[in-house]
Amino acid sequence: MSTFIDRLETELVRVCEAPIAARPPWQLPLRRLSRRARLRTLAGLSVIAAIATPALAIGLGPILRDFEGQTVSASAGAPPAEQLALLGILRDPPPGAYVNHATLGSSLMPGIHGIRTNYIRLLPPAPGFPHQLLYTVTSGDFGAARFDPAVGAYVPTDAKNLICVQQVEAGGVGGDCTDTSVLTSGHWRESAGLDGYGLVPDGVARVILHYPDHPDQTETVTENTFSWQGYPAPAGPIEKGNGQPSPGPTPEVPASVTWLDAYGNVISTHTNGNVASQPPAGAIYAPGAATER
Amino acid sequence: MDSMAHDDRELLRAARNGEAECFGELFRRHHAVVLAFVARRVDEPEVAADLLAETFAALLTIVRDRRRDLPISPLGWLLVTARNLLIDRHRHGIVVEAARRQLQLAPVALDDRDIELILEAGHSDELLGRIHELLPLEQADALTARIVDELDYDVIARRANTSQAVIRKRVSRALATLRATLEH
Repeated sequence: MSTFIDRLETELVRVCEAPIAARPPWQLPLRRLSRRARLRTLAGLSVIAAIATPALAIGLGPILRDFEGQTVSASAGAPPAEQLALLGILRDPPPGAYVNHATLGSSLMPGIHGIRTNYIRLLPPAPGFPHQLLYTVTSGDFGAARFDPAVGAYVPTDAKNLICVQQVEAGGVGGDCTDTSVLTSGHWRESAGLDGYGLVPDGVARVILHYPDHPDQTETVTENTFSWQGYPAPAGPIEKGNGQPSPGPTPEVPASVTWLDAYGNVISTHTNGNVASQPPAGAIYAPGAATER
Repeated sequence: MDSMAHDDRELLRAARNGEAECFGELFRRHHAVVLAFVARRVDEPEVAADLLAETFAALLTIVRDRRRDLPISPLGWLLVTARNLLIDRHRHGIVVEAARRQLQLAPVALDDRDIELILEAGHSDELLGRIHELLPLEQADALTARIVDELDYDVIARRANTSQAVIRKRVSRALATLRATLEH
């Protein structure tokens, strides 16, 4: 009597034996066409380009620009496997999270290159963060600053394979691009007034924010994100570079953040971006139960 | 082709070149470990069976697409893919079936005996047991931390008080040893 394992094996072998269906004609490489057919195809493409150009020029087409009007190069490729493995929302977006790059117009952050157009996601909204995009880029001017004698100033260096989170609003944009280690080190957090927003990798179901002067806060993770309402900093508003106080309340920075899995087990604790503790050797946590909606 | 005498990648290459039985051989080699991996992480046997089927179907879609590179370490690839499918199942409440649909694979039907088999797989220590049985301690620890616990290299390195390069080498050696051992 066969088991489902036997039946599955038989089925896999049957499929493996089946001939691979020919690709539809529109997927055939151009080089396989005769010279006459190539010329016909090119002529057709020219007509399409002539029709499409006005649409692109008025911002309806998929030419991406940053909000300073500079063209942002695009990439049809996938993010590095490490980023896909860390962020379920990138790998397998829930309904409504997929963002068509053609709709973005001139709203991207300056300094990014090679935005991966098939991996732009709308993050779950939270108070203070109503429209946040997550995307990855092949590189960006977000590396450590270095003195450039030619410019006579410190300039940012190029950094590869960044994860970007960007707020998109009618009144402007804001956001940041970081490398993967910022995510895995537990340091990916941002705040707008007392509202906070964080990004965590798959496997984290809840986070506990620990404060020096206030009670802990426990927040549930949704699609790799969590949000919280912070406490006002005891020291009051911080000063900006010009000596003026920043507008709005300044939140107290959590002293550490603990990641929990879906069963309430501690995955790790992060203090100022450093991992303060790790799960015991051999511990197995259920990945991803974290990101229930 | 005498599939028993070949490593995993050779089996996949042969399957790509029309020797379908070689994919069957790869399935026989690794289904128990993949099933143990998923069965211990889900409550329902039906879900574990779906995850097992989708994982191998995903590998088969790569085998059948000549534009895509074959995985360097098929066992590692299977475990990482199973892990990703598990996460997506937790997020959406259902097991993704993209690969099975693309291949038009028949659904997995389970009887009482199958369910018992899956429950046993979930409770067995086949995965960790085989790793520790086959590998030196430091390689087994590195592989368990990377593949089973899914920790980053830098975290494993800090924990073992050594460099990431050493951990990567241990994991790589562990996979090579596993491959060699499982193939002979």
